Amino acid sequence: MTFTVVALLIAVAALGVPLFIVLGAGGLYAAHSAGLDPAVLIAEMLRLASSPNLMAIPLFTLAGVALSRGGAPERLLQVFNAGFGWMPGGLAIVALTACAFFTAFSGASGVTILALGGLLYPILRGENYSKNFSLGLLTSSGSLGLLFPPSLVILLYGIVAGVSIEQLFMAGLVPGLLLLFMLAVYSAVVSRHIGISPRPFSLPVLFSALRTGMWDLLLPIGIVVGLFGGYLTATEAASCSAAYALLLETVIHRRLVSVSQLYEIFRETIILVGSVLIILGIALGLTNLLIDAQIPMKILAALEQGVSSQLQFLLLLNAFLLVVGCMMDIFSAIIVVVPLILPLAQRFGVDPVHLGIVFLANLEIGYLTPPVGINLFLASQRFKEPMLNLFRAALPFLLIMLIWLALVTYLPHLSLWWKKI
Amino acid sequence: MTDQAELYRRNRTWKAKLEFYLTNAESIVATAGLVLLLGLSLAEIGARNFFHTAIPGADILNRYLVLWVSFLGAVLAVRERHIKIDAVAVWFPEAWRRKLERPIFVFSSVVCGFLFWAALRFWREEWAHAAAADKWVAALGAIIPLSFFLLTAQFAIRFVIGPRSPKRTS
Repeated sequence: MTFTVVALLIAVAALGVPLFIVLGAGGLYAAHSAGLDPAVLIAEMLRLASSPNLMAIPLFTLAGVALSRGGAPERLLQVFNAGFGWMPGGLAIVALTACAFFTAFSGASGVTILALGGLLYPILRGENYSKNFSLGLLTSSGSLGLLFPPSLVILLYGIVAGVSIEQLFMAGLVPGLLLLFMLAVYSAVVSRHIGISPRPFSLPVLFSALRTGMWDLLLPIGIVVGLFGGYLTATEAASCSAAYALLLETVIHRRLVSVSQLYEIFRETIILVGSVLIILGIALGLTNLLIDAQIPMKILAALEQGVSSQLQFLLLLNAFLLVVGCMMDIFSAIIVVVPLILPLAQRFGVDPVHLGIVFLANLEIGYLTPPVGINLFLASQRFKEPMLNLFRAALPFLLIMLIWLALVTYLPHLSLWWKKI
Repeated sequence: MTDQAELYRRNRTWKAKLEFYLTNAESIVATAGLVLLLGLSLAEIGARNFFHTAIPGADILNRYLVLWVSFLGAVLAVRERHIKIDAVAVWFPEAWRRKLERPIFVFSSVVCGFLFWAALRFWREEWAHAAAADKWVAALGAIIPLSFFLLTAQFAIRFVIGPRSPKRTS
């Protein structure tokens, strides 16, 4: 009976029923089968109010939306272009860093493709980068930066898994930079192969770009120093970021000056936050019932028959999460899957902070894999290209990301280096 | 012009008007909540660092404001079609997807109706058992039944109105 209900719920989700409705229906069924009052789901939902870090999600989202609407992507592009454009493969590296930077703030990686992809594609093509390389680069760059502060997916993982947000931000830095470095090296090699000559470096151009873009750059620097220096908690950093971003766009750059513009920014934030947190609220009830029903323990018992080492577990986890990543969006995947795999990972001795980075790295890659990798889907809409062409174009980048995933998964020190200090 | 305002401009039936006014009311309350959340959290940082004190009740109020912002945001997201997963449906022809909409709205409305009923009973219990000094906290918890009521109504309204034209379902 339970199997039939689960299969039905998966089917209705696939047909387009909102995920929170599917989870709500699952929760109602689980409560009914356990002979419990469905009010237990509501009690769990109210647990959201006891999470001290939850407040950081709307406030960081507000900062990201204000920056995005206020023209920060264009200003950052100018700064990175002036700063890195002279390197071999300079423009491609500019695209990678700008996308990573912007994704760290905008959280949901699809936004990056929509906001920056359209700006960068004609510039890359204008510099003679091939169509395939440009499309592949921009499609895969859409999910770079998810591991950098103040990434919303890290915040959400921290809240769902009950892991320190500051530690997760610290853990994401080296893997995130490593991926940027690997893709930058590949881009430099390709650009040399195509015969694109680097542009000359110009100090006046850099200064001019910095004059407009330095305020945007100060924000992530402030967050990193504030969080890692122990001066701010995640929620304080979020409040300060939102206030700073609003000040930047209303007073310094004066891009958002009317009340209606500000109202739209707040409204967009509310909708983005609402569409994620309602899933979290409802999933709390369902996952709690699943845990009460010992579901993770049953999975563990089944798993232990075939899996005996941490390495085997991580391999299996990678395969499983790659499938999850190409079927679900990253926020829903964190909310639904993390509570189920966390006890399994602990049983196999995987550090929850390391698990978070592995989890997010997998989902980042899942965004690029058919049938429903969201980066492929959004890029297909943005660049008017069939998804299969984009997948082919993104394949070299995907392979590099898979090598990176293996490094991040099997070398925990990359994520946990700070524990040795 | 927002999507809702655009819909209102195109369609002045009572159902569309109701949807428009509800959306506006929810947007205003949720925006006020987010502004208050930002202001209060900044004031708290200031009070803690400069006056070594805390604003009484601010922490609890902030946590509940997050719930208000999130749940009203979810209602708005549903109204403006931001919440959906199209794992398989994305491959369907437009006509099929439009045919699926009404059954999806009914199913969603029924699920939200059950959740509303559970939330209302839970909240009434909380309210009845809250001490006089904590009544305001219990009152803030009303957002959960309220938002499930709004979601139930929204899905029901959409069921009555039916699928939007392809141009509007962007």
